[in-house]
Amino acid sequence: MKPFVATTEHPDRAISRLISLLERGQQEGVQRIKKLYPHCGRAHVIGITGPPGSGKSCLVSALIGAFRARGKSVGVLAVDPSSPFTGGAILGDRDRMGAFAADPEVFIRSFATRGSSGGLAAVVNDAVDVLDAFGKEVILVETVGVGQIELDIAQLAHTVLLVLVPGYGDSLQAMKAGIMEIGDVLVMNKADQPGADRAVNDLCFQHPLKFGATEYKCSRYNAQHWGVPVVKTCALKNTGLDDLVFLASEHYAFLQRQDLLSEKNRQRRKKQFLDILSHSIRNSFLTVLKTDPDLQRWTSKIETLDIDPYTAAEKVIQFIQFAREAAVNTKHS
Amino acid sequence: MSEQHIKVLVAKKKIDVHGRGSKLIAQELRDAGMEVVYFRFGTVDDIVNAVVQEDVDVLALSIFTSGHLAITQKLIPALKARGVDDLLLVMGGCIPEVDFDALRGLGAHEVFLPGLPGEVVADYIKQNVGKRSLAETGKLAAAAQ
Repeated sequence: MKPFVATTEHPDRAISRLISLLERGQQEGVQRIKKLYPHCGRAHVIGITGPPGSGKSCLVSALIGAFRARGKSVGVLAVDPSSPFTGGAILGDRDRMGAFAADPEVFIRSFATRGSSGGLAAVVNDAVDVLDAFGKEVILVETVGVGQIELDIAQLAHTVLLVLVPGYGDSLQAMKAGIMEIGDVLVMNKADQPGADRAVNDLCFQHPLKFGATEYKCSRYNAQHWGVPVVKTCALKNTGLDDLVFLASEHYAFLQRQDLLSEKNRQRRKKQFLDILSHSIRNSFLTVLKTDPDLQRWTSKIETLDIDPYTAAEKVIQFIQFAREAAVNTKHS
Repeated sequence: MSEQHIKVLVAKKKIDVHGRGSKLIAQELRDAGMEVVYFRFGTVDDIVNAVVQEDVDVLALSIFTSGHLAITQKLIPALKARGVDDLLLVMGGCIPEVDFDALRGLGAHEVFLPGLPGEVVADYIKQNVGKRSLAETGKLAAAAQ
């Protein structure tokens, strides 16, 4: 097992080791990350999501370049799917970001989804905090936009870029609920392909909007009354990136102006706490269950339906409530 | 080391232009249940950086256009200089068999001939990951002196 070594001369290795410890769910990682929270909360977290093959990795690569040109340090967390059959995975995102392989201000880490029970959302959540604490100013989180884990990951971002390509479907497709709703900026990538203008028009249901001096097409207004702009890019030819970076920072400024940023961070922490808590309760219950014969007798009654599972769960909640009341009473007496 | 999540970096050195062989071995390792970071071309620094940031258990170097001795000579000290010593290093591709011992002497743990079934490499990795490391190269060199 690899030990965590906190050395100042290899910060990348310290970050990397810590993420590995958290990925393996080791207590050492938990103890280490506890000390990092006071240093968190400065980074702009940007989620990049969209269907497979829409050019997310190339776009992330182009974004790294654009942010580096503006003097920002960048962290990248890239998620690719695991095979449901063998558990193996090809993590191909890093390959597209080769140009920054030796830049010390850029940290890139790839993750495999490891199935829905793998707890990846929690790991990526922690990894964002680690990169934030180690001073990365922009954190790009890239996921394939299909399924619940990816949605969870996208939602820990301040700003979500939804990447689409010409030929994704017509305007009716764009009106469907779900993935289209999570984008704060819609990106029409591969805009040099035929049909790009038509595809952009199909996305736009509102009048164009002015950001700064420039007018952008607008898809819709979201729940926070932010007008979702649509921008054309061609990541391989590096066009449209200035607009995209500008709109992403505009969205961040909007969140700050409307006091939504702190609200977003609060929501994220609350959800993180509840996830950690339910995970720990479940784990400690399962540990006790392995050794406690009383509890085993009781659960075997559930297995044979002598007690139904709902009543059993209610009883456990009652026990916890009794214990809590007892604790409060002893404190007061 | 949890065996089901062995993380491997498949890398090629800069301008070593080939794709079929490296992609084939990447897929075979994936089918053996490993998480394979596929990284196209890199200088020694690029490869070391990728190893550090991804914190992989195994580095698999795919060689097509020779230069295997030169890159191994530079790569292993560069890895150690960044504090990486717990890595399993395997090489494969078009490497003449006469150089195998020289490569092992430089610190590569195993070198594979072309045309082997993919399981040979996967099985070697599964048996040796976490057991052999770059740290032993220094010891071997010291023992030889």
